[in-house]
Amino acid sequence: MNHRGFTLVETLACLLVLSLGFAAAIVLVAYGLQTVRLPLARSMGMATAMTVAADPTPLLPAGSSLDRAGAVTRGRINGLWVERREEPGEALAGGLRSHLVRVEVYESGDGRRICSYQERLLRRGP
Amino acid sequence: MSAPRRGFTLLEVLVSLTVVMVLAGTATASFLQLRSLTRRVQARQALSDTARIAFDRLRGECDAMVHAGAWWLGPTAGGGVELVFLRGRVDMLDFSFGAEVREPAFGAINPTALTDLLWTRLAWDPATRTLGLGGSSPLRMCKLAQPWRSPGGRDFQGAVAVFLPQAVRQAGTDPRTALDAHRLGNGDPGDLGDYGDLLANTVPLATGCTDLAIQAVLADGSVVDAAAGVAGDGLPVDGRGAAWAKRPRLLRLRFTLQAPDSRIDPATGLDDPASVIQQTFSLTFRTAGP
Repeated sequence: MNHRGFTLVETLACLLVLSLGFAAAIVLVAYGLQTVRLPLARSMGMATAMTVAADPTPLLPAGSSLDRAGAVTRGRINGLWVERREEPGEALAGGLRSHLVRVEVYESGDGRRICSYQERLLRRGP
Repeated sequence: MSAPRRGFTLLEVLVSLTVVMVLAGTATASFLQLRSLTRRVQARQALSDTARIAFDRLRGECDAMVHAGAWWLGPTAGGGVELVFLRGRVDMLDFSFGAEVREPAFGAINPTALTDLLWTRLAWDPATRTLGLGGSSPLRMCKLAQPWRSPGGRDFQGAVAVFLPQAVRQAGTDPRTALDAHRLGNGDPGDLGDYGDLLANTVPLATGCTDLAIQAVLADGSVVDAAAGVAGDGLPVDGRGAAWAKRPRLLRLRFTLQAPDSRIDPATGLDDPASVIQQTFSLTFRTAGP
């Protein structure tokens, strides 16, 4: 009967396999968390998009604001990155103008687009 | 006779132990970080979910806001914030009050269809950190406070009546009194459709709400603020005549939600900042019209 023990190389190889298993488990859980987070970000993203579409200057925490450059407004709100574009309005009867507003919402982390929203706003005046 | 047993050398054991300790340390740190990340993701999921539900509920209420109706925005006695607005009306056609009370003479007095008003109340209570939302009952019921005799001679004082046609309600300076100031009721706790009923129907929309600020942008471009610790205008508007320009066009909300499992710092008795998971949400609701 052979009672010879493991060699150092065998032990290290075993530990390497074990550590790979640990790493794989951690990566898998992290991936699962990311997968779960996306649908929720998407639903909150739609509420955020509707907010920014209606109001380019929402009530943000003190010290933060959305940057406005011409017809484009962009910035961080509700943990998401938004970009709002408002097209020049079309004149309607009664002194009203119709403006098409498009909002894109991106995840702050990897910049993945979460949702898009489009709405037509009526404004008074020229 | 057994074969000679050769074990690990000291060097091999030490190297193996070192590798095992390094791996165990790395794995432990990774798992701790992963557990913390999981907790934060779960907490943020819950907070976002709560905010989304609040958005959906409030959007439905604001979509139904009647511009010609009254609304109030201002601080509460407890240091919170309160928004009360008329969200709709119910027309009860072919409703015969006389048939309901079995009083033949009543039908001659009030044979018309009834219109009832529905109110919504959004309130934040800093003591319980609760953001509450409630609607008044779509049925107005009150105990008649004053003597009131029908043409048949019967005195209805003390009786419970279910009616009150009021197509347009004059907004007073305060919802507490304006909603109660109907013609016959007296603010009895059993009354339906008044401010007390609105309070009773206010249920938590979100807990762990540590802050709420509401800003209303009116049709004339002016802005009304109400935030914790800031006295709002408490602007009462009934939407008629010149007050039409004071109807709200945008309602901006900013509220902070905090996950419930933060630790309390024994030194200060307050939330330990290191354990607090919170997020501030900014939402805007647009009422109908240009």
